[in-house]
Parts: sequence; C-alpha cells; structure tokens
Amino acid sequence: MVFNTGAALLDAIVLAVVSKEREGTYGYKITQDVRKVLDVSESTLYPVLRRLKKDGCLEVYDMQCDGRNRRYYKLTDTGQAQLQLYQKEWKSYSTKISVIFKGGEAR
Amino acid sequence: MNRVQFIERLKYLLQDIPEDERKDAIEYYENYFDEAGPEQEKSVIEELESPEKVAAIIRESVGYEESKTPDKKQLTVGKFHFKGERNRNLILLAFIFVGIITFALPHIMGVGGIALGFFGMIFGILVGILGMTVGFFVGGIGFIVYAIAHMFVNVPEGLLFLGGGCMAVAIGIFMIMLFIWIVSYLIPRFIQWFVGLFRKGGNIDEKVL
Repeated sequence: MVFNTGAALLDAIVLAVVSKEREGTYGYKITQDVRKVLDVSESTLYPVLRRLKKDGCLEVYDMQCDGRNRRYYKLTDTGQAQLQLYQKEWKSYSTKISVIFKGGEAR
Repeated sequence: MNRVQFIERLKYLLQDIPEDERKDAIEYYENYFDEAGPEQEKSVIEELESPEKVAAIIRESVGYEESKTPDKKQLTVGKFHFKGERNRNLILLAFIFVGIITFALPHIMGVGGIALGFFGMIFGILVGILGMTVGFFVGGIGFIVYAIAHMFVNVPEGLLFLGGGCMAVAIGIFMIMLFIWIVSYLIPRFIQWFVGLFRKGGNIDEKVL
C-alpha cells in the first residue's frame, strides 16, 4: 500500500460496501470486501462501523442465522446522502490527480 | 491462543470502558469469529495480532466520544457537596489565593532583586564605558591642542603631549567601538541565549508533527 488511507476515505469505502446490499450486510463480510480494496487490518473496521452507527449513517439489526445471532449493518438515508457526497468528492479529487499524473494542467 | 481465550482476554481488557460499549465490541468479535468459521480461526487471530492491540483500538475509538461528554455526576461525600455551593467555594479560593501570594511574594521579590541588580550592573558598565570614552576623547583632544600650541616653544614637551593625546583619542575610539559591540551584539545574543533556555524542551516533537 503506497498511499495512506485517511479516515474519510475509509468511511466512504465502508459505506459503499454496505450500500451494495439493499438489506445490509454483516461485519465479517464487510471486512472481507473492504480488504479486497484496501490493505487494512481486520481490527481496523470495528471503530469505523461503530462511528458510522453513532453518526447515524448505519443502522443495526440482528437476525437469527443457523441458531446464532448475526448482526447486520444497513445504510440509513443519512448514510446514503453521505455516500453520495463522498462519491462526488472522490470523482473531483481523483480526476485532478489523474490529470496531473498524465502531465496535464491542474484546473 | 484460541478463540475462546482471545475473547476472554479481550473481555478482561475492556473492563474500564462503559458496559454497553464493551458488550457491543465483544459481540462484534464473537460474531466475527462465528462468520469466519472454525477453519479461519487461526488466521483471524493472526490478523488481529493480540487482544491487547484490539482492546487498545476499541478503547481509543470509545475514548473520543467519552471525552466530549463530561462526567455530570455530583461529587459528594455524605452531605458535603464539593461542587455544590458557589459562594463558599469562592471564599475558600480567595483565601488560598491570598495565602499563596503572601507566601510567594518574598521569593518573587528576591529573584526580582537579583534580576534588577544584574541589569543595573550592565547599565553601570555601559555608562562607565561612555564616561571613559568622553574622558579619553576630551582629554586626548585637549592634549593635542596643548601640544600644537606649545610645539614651537618646547618641542619635547609638545611631542609628548601630541603622542599622548593621539593615544587617548585612539583609546576613546576603541571605547566607542566596544560600547557599540556590547549594545548591538553582546546584549541581543545574551537575550537569545536566555530565551533559548525556555525553548529547549519544545523542539523534540517537530518531526512527529
């Protein structure tokens, strides 16, 4: 991993991963999906999920699965709005960087 | 270490955080191990590295929230409220303040006296140098004038006074240069050194920033 992932980018990626499932997804799966994109430790995700829940971007519900409890995380409307904001910001940011790398002028 | 031991140790380490946070975190990791399945148990523990590391990460993330909401519990011992009565506390504080001042004042004055003495010394030296400069200049020029006046009357005496006068003027010039050097170089350097004494502790963290 050459570039450091800031907290905001990590939040954005987690929100994006959770948003892929309309009914939400659970901690282990979220971690695996995020780790396909970012090289983060498995212990990094809990604080992020906790914070997103506290900020109202994620809601939590439990579901019985194979006789044991599984905790699901789902995007709220706030979370959806926040994700769209992040996506817009990312598009602008990454475009500028790509331009500069290709040797063009930053506008 | 197996999963059960890992979770037990984690539970132990998280005793100092609020009960609901602790429950939440433990449940998350129990879930996590469940989802990963027994085949992955070893590699998960490897990735998590240690219960201590996981606990530290959890504690840090809980810590930010806790510091935002101060403890609103009243500090009480029996019927005695520490935080309660404002007037009584103000009076107590006033007494403490006066006590500290009266105790510290002689010490402060002592140190202040030394500082004053030091500056007085510097001032005295500078005035002394100025005085000597004026003396040498005036005296030197006086000698030279006398020498010129008497040069034709008494040559040896004239030469003597001329030489002496020139030397005196030279010393006067040197005094002026010394004075200028003290004021523009020595004193600023001294001030820099003095201020630097207070800064020495602060430079270590610049790399970390």
